[in-house]
Amino acid sequence: MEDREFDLCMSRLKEGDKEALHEIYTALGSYIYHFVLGILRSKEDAEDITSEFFIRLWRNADKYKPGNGYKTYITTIARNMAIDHLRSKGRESLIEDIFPQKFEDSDVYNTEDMITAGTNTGAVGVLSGSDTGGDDNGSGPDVTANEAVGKVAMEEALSKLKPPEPQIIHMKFALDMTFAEIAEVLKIPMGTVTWKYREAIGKLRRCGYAF
Amino acid sequence: MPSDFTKEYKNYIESETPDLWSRIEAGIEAEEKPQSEKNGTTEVITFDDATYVNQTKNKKIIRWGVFAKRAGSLAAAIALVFVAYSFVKVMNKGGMQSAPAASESTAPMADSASAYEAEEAPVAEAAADDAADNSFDGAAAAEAPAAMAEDAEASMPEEAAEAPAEAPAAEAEEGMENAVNNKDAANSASAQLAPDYSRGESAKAEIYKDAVLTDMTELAPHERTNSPAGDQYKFGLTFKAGDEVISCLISEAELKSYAENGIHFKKNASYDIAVILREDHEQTQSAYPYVLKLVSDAEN
Repeated sequence: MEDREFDLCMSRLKEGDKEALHEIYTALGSYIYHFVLGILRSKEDAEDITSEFFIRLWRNADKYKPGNGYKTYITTIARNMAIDHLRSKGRESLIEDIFPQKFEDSDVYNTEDMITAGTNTGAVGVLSGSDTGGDDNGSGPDVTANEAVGKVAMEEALSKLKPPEPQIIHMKFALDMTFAEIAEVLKIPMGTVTWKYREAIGKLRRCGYAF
Repeated sequence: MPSDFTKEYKNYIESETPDLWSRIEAGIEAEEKPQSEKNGTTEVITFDDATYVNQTKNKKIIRWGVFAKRAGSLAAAIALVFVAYSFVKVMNKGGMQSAPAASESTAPMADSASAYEAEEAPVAEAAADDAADNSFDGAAAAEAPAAMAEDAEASMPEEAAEAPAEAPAAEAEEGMENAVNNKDAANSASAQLAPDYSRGESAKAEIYKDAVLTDMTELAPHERTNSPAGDQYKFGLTFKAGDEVISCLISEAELKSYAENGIHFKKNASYDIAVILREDHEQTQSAYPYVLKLVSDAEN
């Protein structure tokens, strides 16, 4: 959803147009749900917070100021709601686990190795490989099986990421946010965001994904 | 064959999301019921021979406070623009003698604009933090720009504080336009050394914004260890070359070694980044004495 579309929907929301809220929900519901799920780690809680998010959006539509980009706005609010929910449940210790501020020793790379590795793997793009063109994944009775396999593969790949990598990947790929916006939401330096993003991409590539 | 992650990820999150719309709708309807009782209602009083309509009206409330805050913010913003324009003009007159001719008039402007942005960023960030913490609280969000304006006004030098508000809006706009045009000119002069750099407002990071390598170029301390010899830092170096983001963590000793030995970071780009020691580091005794400089291929 583009900024302009969101601003238009919000102005319709102020007039009481419920259909506008439905459009926003259709475009962003899955993004918000999975974002708060990453923080809360409970599907029930994530459903509660996601529902509450859109109810509040409806309730406070007149307080929204258009023209400043909506992605940071909604992500920050969703994050704050999720963290407030955690605090109210007395699970504050989880916050540090989700957003660690220090690098672990295993994250320290030798500079020359980083540059060499970057040179060897090449620029961003599809990994080189044969294109047989023979696989047909788009139709037939194997679609459900393929979807199931894809889901398992995705979950396994995502399980290899360490916080805040899943949040960064989610904001980057689900909502196409910039690194600056992600840094603003997570309240960490942009250098850390790009660093963690690169690490996450490397892990996902090793799981067989192309970017 | 590798799978396209973007497409697969979007499909995954779509398929794993429960349908919450009916729940959201029910929540809204539950809120709307008591709300309708608070609004103005039409009460019909029926007598034997006549029907009277007694209608309560909602008074339109003019929020003078909000207007005043917004007017104050606007005036402060215009004053800030005027100050930035004056600063840029002064920088232009002084200039950097060692810089190549083409970049002399552009790099200081670009860096001044960068410095202006750097100064604005923490204030805006603090304001954004306040707004975010208050979730949907519009009143707090409205106060944030006003607070921002107050902070910006307090930090201005006295002579600038006295400057208009009355400054013509056209002049301020012209100054902004010049800054933007000069920044574009800086972009086009990317093959030249830019000797100046901008300092982060927090004084914790020396950030060199390079036109070619985008604003992701950053050298910032990430870790501090106390030792008998004093604080030891590890720095995160991030820059983008082409489509790829290069990030690495290097110790202060390594940085110093690179600076002394003139080692450059090079990655499939037409430009190197050289880590050098600031010329005035002995005078400033800064804990972060390193800056990044752009070195073109022609210089190597």
